[in-house]
Amino acid sequence: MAQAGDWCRMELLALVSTRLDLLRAGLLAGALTRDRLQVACYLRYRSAFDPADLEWLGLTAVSWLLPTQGEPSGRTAETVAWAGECLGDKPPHVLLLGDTTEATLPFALTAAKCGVTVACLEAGLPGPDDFERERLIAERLATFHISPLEQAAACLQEEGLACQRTADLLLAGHTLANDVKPAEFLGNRGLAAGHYAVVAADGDPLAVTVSGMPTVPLAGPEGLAGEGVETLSCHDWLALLTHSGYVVSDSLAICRLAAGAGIGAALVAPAERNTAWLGDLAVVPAESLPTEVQPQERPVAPAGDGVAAVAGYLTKGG
Amino acid sequence: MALRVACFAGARPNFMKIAPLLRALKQDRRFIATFVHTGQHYDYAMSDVFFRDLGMPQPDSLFEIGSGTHAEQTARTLAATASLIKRQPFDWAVVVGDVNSTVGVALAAHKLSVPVAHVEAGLRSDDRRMPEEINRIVTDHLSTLLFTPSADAGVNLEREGIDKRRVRLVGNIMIDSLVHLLPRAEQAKPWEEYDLEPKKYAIMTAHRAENVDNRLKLRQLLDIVVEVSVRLPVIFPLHPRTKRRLIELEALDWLREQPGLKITEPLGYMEFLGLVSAAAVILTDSGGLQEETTYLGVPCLTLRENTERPVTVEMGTNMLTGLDVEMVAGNLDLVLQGRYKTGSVPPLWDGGTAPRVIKALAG
Repeated sequence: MAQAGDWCRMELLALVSTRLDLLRAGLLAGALTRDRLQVACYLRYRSAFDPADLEWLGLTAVSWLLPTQGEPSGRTAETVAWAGECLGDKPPHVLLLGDTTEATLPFALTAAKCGVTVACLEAGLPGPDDFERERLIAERLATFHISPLEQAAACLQEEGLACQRTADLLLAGHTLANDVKPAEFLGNRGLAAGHYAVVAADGDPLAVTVSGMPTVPLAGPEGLAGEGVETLSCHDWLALLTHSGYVVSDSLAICRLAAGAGIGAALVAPAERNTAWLGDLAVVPAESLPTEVQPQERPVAPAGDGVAAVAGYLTKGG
Repeated sequence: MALRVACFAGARPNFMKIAPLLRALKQDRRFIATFVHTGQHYDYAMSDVFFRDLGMPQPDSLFEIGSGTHAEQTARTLAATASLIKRQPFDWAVVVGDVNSTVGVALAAHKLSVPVAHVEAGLRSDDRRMPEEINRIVTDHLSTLLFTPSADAGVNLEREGIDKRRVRLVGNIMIDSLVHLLPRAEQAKPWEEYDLEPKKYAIMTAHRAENVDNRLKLRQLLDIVVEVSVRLPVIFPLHPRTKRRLIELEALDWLREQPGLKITEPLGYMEFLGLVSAAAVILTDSGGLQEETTYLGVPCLTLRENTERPVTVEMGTNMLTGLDVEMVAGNLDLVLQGRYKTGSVPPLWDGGTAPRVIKALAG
């Protein structure tokens, strides 16, 4: 069984199912040696990301799967078979899992049975309702659990699992778009940095406006742009998000990405969901939509470098 | 309205667990029982002969998933189960054991919102290198009802955060088959076919990948079987996997030539049960045999470092020796001298597990 700290000498494979998975992989690959980390790309929607997005981040894909089966059970069967191919002949030593999607459990199951060590980078965070049970099982199959929030680490402990490291890779996600010259990039869209709000969700845009700011609808983590929403490359999507003045999303991960850039954010979540552990993050009950949100003061960006912490854990085991 | 229950089995160890359940379900008007054979084990000697011996009906559905990697077998089972559920919905999917078919069915049923009942739930060896351990964990966490064979299994599930209300301690369903068939099996006196006398021979079985896929360990197994065969005759039915590995090692012919060793093809359940019941000692890496020997009071030396059936060690006649020839020899001495531990039968291993399962399914 792999020990933390051995990973720097081993090959890592990251399962990438969302744009945020892609960013995490890009950040880690930059902190490690690029040829130590490769990705296996699962696209629930073709619009999630493409080879150009991988090239931007300097990532190499071992395989892609855009499932052909229309039903969840069929896609799961397809994913198990695909995972077997990805992990079969030359299995990596470690499989990195990020956001919980329908690919998470099939990949975790296959990896565990191949003797591949499984590491969760978003351990303890509730996933989408449809996949919550699968998330719990995947985390139980994992050997290493990295939680982005202290509260998530606490959730993990309640599940009887240990959190080996608390670190949030996404806090540094905005740095990947540092090459953008906002005046030109945003000017072409009639926007000014810090003076517009982003409303990010997969599928139909959330019925949210933000007081005092024009709102720009963006796709969510799976890149599914709803009607009237511009389809963007991952780079441009990230740039628009991280140069905004406020972010509203139904994705906690997107809110954390914003927080890392010092941008205020509000999470749209069902009223019955326990959000008390989200601390200062503003929460908009999903049942209250359509609604207008009052942006809070621009917060201080959280301290700490999640990428260095995770990369350090991987290479030094501490 | 009768509850539609589909019972899935695919590998030989599954059949003796499904058989008593099917028998009980078919006798109970509250249920419409369907038997689904996934075809994970398709060799006649591994499958059809068991049906005959256990008195099982022909399957209502046969998937024919065949051999392959873990991922391939799981994916095929998943797809076939999903297809079946869509054509022929049922109220419960009952799975047993820890093979790839088990987890494939559980995944498909979960995806299609069919509640899963896992018989033989909660077993843990805590050895994640075993694919079976992974299958058990995933199947248990996908299951709505978990039927455990012993109290320690319930403790394992509680430790993993599974709600106690989903867990039922029902006993060991494989013992139901054993109790049902033992009189006939003993009456047949199968040891006479091998010119052997009761309590004067050993049986060896080995099929675990961790043992037979590793050449060094396979050689250690051969050392053990030869060491034992010097002291008393050994019947060694060869699992297809083990046979393949022996051929690759170019050791099969050599093994067949060893005096005191009787190498056979896989045996039917009745014949094997009769032989086990009258054996002096069993050497095995099989999970089910650890349980059967505890019930029968036959000494069992398990050729592994760990077990997911610790109750057979704590209460029964089982001893973990790993592949340590000296430890095997030492325990064999105790057996031959009549000084080996006697053991007792765990609670609810009484042939009445299937009715307890049905009672829970009926709500």
